[in-house]
Amino acid sequence: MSTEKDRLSSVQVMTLAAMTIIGTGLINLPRQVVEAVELGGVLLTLVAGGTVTTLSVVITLLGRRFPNKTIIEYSSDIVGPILAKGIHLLLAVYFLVGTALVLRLFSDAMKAFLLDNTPIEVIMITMLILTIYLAQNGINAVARICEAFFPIVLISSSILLILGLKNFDIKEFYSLWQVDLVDVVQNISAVTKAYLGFEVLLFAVAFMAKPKKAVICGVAGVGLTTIIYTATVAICIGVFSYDALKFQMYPTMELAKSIDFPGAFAERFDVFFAIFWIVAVFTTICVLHYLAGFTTVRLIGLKNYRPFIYLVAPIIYFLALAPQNIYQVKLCGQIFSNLGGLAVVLIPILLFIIAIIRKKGERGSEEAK
Amino acid sequence: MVRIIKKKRYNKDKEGKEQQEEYIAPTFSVDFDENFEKFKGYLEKSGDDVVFREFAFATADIKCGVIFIDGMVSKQWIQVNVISPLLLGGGQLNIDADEKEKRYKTALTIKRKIISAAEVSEAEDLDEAMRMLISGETILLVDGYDKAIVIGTREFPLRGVQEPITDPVIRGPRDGFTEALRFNTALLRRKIKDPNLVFDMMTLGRRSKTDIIISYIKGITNPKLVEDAKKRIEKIDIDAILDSGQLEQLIEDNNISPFPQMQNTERPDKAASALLEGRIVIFVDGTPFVIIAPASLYQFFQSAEDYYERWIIGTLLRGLRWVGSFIATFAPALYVAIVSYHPGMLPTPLALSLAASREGVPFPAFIEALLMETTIELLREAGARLPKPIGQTIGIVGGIIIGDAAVRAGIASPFMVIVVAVTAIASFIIPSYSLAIAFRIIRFPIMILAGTLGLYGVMLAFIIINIHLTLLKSFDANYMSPISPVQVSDWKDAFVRAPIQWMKKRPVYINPVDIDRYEQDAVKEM
Repeated sequence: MSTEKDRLSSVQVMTLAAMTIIGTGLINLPRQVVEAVELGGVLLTLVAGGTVTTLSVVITLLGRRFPNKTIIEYSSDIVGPILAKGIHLLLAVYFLVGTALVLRLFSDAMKAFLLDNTPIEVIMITMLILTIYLAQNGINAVARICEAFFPIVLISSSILLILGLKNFDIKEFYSLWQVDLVDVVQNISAVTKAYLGFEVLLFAVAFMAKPKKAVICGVAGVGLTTIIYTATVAICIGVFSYDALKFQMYPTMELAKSIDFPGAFAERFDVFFAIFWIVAVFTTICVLHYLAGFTTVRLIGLKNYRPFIYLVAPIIYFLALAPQNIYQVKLCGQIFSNLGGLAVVLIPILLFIIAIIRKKGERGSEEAK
Repeated sequence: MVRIIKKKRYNKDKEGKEQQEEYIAPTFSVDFDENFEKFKGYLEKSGDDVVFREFAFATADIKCGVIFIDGMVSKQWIQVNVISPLLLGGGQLNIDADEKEKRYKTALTIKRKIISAAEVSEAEDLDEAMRMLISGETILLVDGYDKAIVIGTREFPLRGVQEPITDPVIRGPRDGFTEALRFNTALLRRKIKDPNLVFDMMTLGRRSKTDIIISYIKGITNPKLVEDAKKRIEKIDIDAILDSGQLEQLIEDNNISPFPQMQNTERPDKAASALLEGRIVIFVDGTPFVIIAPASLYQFFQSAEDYYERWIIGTLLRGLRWVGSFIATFAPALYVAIVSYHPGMLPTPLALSLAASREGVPFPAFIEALLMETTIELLREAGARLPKPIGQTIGIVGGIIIGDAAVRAGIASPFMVIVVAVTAIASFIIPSYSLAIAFRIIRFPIMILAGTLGLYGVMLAFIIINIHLTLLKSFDANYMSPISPVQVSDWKDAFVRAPIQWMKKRPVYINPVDIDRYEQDAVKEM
């Protein structure tokens, strides 16, 4: 299908997973966490991250059983073509809605922080043009961009968190021993949605040069994200306290605003952070856009995804414009995460179990011998 | 549709080639006068710089003639080594044969014993002889011999080896390539005395017949790269190549991109170091600039001197160049974005003084920036095309007087003048002129984006540039490597200049056959 040179390297898969996950979650995760549980937000983030990391292990193991095949191909190997079509449809809808939702969340935040008077449509269209430009060149180009931008996101968020430590109040964590573990476990699913994006591994493993390293790459990518997210949540809680966090739309941005930059060449650090955050969200939208095009084209039964990158763009645009206000956006986010729970959490687990039982795939056939 | 057009064009090409194959060049006859007239018929109209000299070979009384182009040969040398031995009847002839045979053998004797030249060859037909003649060789025709004797007498006006004007260094070799191909290859051979250094000659241009040399080191350079380069050059069908810059545009991967996809240099040491890294160097006759391929972005930030001074200063200077390139590209755009969209992000005192200085300016920041940037581009272009002494005056008049006057007149704010000046200086810091041009060009679209979408627009531009660079390739090597795809071992020579002892490997992204610098595989292979 593709030559050795066009394949994804291990680092590329790792950054692809990390950059797809790190997106809107980076600025509103702390609020989501605090809304979900009263205490133990840090623990919840960590546990949710651990859950997703386990999931990524399942996904990469599943991908490794079927070399050079994405979920589109191996799902029909496992459960037959008719059920597989259903899975394809679900995935296509999931990615379309996902792209639209992230685009909408991003545009709202951009409007709030950088461009007060610019219509939201302009922000969306410019962003979509950029993602089309990149996504039509295939997953390899997308992965290379993720690789190039990963250090930018990592360094900028690290600087933010380190500077944020100045206002950090350790007293917020004194109540650590009163955390209700049952409460934490019950709310894992609410926080898991911030980690959505790891499903890119369902596809990326098929394009890897060394699929044997898939599991390590997946774990490293998701694990790094977990560390960044947990640190962000911890520092936001430490700086703002639980009660204040609930009323902040974008807590991480507020954190950036609260920073006094040493040397004071800039008054508002949040603008700096916002422009670096654009990079993080761009990669997320781009990967999801690519996957939306990819799954749609396979659903119809064609091979060339390139025209579909263009064709799904208007659909994504109108889906993103559909919610009238922030409340509806939140509602859509709820629907999306439920859909995600079905499409990329439940289905891969089921597929994995069925594949083991029916002894499908490479390792399965080895065992049969 | 496009495919159909392409096919048609292809067919046309094919027909053209077939016609060319049918053409047969006129050959020489045994008769001297006929041959001599053939040359005269072709060349008499082209001017009086062609010299026809007819004389007799004294020993055997055979008609001879030399043809050469005045100015391209050493006349003195021809007289001493060709004409006078023949006229004065050097050599002995004891040939017993009939008249025809005798003349033939005489010609061979002349070639072997009488002409004291280092390079003597023969031309089978008129076209070949004509090509040699035009490139500065002397043709000797002998009666009874059906070939033209070609004597190597090239000598044409040349500039000597001088210090290169581009890429100057404070410490390091000061020799530069010249316009003569052979001098250039010799300069390179003097740097790398390795028999594995190959010079592959090709000719390009239907009319100019320019000599082109692809050079590489066998055992280091990937043969695929050499093959690819040859294939690209062979595909070219053009009437003339006058400079390596033209060749570069004809063989580059993406001709819409503003970024240079091959490096060019006047410095033999730079060319030699590129060869030793496993790249190819392409020479074009008639220009001191050689092409180095493949190139990736980081290479354009390297100067030869980085390697000659100690590594600390090399590393610091590279960092400075990266910062400089960022300023040269984004500074005016950031100014526009911050002043017109996000004045709040500046510290209050700075924001206030900025607002105060802009109070009298009648234009929005975007127009102000566009105006000043255009002015400085005008100044730069005016300075570059004028003779040197006047060029400096333009710099002073333009830079100091216009800048000051613009501020006093209230057309531009002092901040804008500072931004424009810093941008211009930062763009001079990039060692490669071709990359500096690229940054100059993209600065304007970025300013437009900044003027319409503020910092979001600047970031969009940043992302677009990165996507473009990531997709860009130079001879199948990634332009953005070693950033993407990540190649940690190449970082030692990309952003920093690590101590030479650490750089034991050649750059991985060009796929050299022999990756280790210090192990002597290449010599062993010999």
